[in-house]
Amino acid sequence: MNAVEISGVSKYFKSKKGQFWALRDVSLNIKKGEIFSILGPNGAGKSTLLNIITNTLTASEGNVKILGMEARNYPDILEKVGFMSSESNVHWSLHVRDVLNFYGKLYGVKKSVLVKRREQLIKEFDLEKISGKSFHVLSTGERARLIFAKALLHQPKVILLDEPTSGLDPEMAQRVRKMIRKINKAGTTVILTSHNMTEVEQLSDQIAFIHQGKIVDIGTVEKVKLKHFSTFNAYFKVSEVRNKTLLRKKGFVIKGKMLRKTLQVGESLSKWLAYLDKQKIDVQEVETKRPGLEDYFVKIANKK
Amino acid sequence: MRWHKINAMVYRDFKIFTRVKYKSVEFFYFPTITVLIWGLFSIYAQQFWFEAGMIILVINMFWSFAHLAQSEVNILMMEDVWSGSIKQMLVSGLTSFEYLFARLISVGIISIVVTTLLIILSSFFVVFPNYIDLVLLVIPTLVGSMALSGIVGALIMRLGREYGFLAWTSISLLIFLSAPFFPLEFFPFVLQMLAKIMPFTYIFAGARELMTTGSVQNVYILKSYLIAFIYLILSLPIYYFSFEKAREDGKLARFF
Repeated sequence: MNAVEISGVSKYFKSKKGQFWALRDVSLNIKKGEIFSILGPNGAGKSTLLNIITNTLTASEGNVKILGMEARNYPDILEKVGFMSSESNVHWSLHVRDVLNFYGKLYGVKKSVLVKRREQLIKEFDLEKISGKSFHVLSTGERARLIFAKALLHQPKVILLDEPTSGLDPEMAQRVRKMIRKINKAGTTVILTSHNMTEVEQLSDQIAFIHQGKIVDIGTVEKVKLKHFSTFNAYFKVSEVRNKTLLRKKGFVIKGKMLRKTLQVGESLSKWLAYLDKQKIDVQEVETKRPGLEDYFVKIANKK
Repeated sequence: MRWHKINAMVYRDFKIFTRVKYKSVEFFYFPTITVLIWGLFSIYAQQFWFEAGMIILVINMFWSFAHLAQSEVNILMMEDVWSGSIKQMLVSGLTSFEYLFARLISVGIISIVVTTLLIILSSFFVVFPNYIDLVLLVIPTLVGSMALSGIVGALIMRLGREYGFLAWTSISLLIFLSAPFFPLEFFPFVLQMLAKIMPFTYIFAGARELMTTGSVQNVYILKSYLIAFIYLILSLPIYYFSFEKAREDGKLARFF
């Protein structure tokens, strides 16, 4: 059984101009214990998909199963799911402890467990000093820590994180990423959306790219990059450039004392180092620049 | 219905009631001022029409009670909309009925406490001839107001957050159409027909009769219960289908 199974999900909205398809025939299987990232440009359908998974939006076609059960028929299954979004809010007047107590009760956490878990999370997320403060006076970072703590209170089997580090300072963002790794190590399946490609590359076991409501790619980070980028650039910093004509014939681009060579993925760098050595060109430094997830994102997002 | 979810929502509502200062103004200040003003008027009015002031005081008491019981449920919903917190609750699997039912419990408790205080305060200005009939009229007032809160909640969900003003304005129209201070025969014919299906008409008629004759006719009590419970039964599917339509249209996820 997968953690989440999305089968043939489509969603359209009616507007004055007719029907607008926000999602078309989306199918995904997210394995238990994975960190699965869903990428896509703004308006691609990521939030629509998350809303359908959490049953705050009804799919027009298809179904979603969480741990083998459909949330719209068995809403109890959502008590095994945590949710955190950068836009998450609670009533402005509630204190930090009120929030944790409320959500603990809402998710059916037993009283004796709730007290222990609440205090554990207050300590873990540095909420002791602000535990008596109202939500509306908390800073962005404090709110993010509280919302994340609240999402973990009931020890969910699956957690959805919608841009969890958006708007956070680098230190806070790093703490959130550490926490994501920690909960995943403990067995929680993580479904993540993010515009931070470095974060996605660091964390994800698998990614899916949504564009204009459809799944364009799915797989590991390396696999999807390889599908669209078969080459990478190697930069050789040399002390002196000789035999420029010969180098250009071999495909080197010369800029001052920097030689750039485009290589196929899997092609050996040592072959070209040996060639340059044979030409009596002294290589001082070598750097490779492989296409990142950001390059992939821009390439796919610009495709029509 | 999952009682741990309702318990959690009631816990949250009471935390909000204690944390938000203006709630005590809404619950206690306005109704108390109303009773004080009309209570003093009732003493003055005894000089020219003995029952006039008493009728106005008692009707205002019921009006305050109905307004509180209906509007506060919908205002709590609107606060969830304004604070952007409703989605955080719904992702836990909270159903539409659990969401509404918990609010009815929270506000029902507060309304009954406030109304009891108003009756005690009013008794300094008027002598209630019959507390049993008074309590019998309080119950359909509560039921009718709660039914209205479900209907108003449904309207806000369907029409969108811009219609949030219905939370505190809609009941005034229904109270007017329920002929609060006068017999419904004083209305033009069309309004008379409309008044007969309003949730508070026979409650007000019963309250006026209580203060003028000392008791309430059984027909007024029966009709007030019947109409209140019909409103309640009708409000449930209206609320449910509006909630599900809002879920389908994306309003629940996007606007709430």
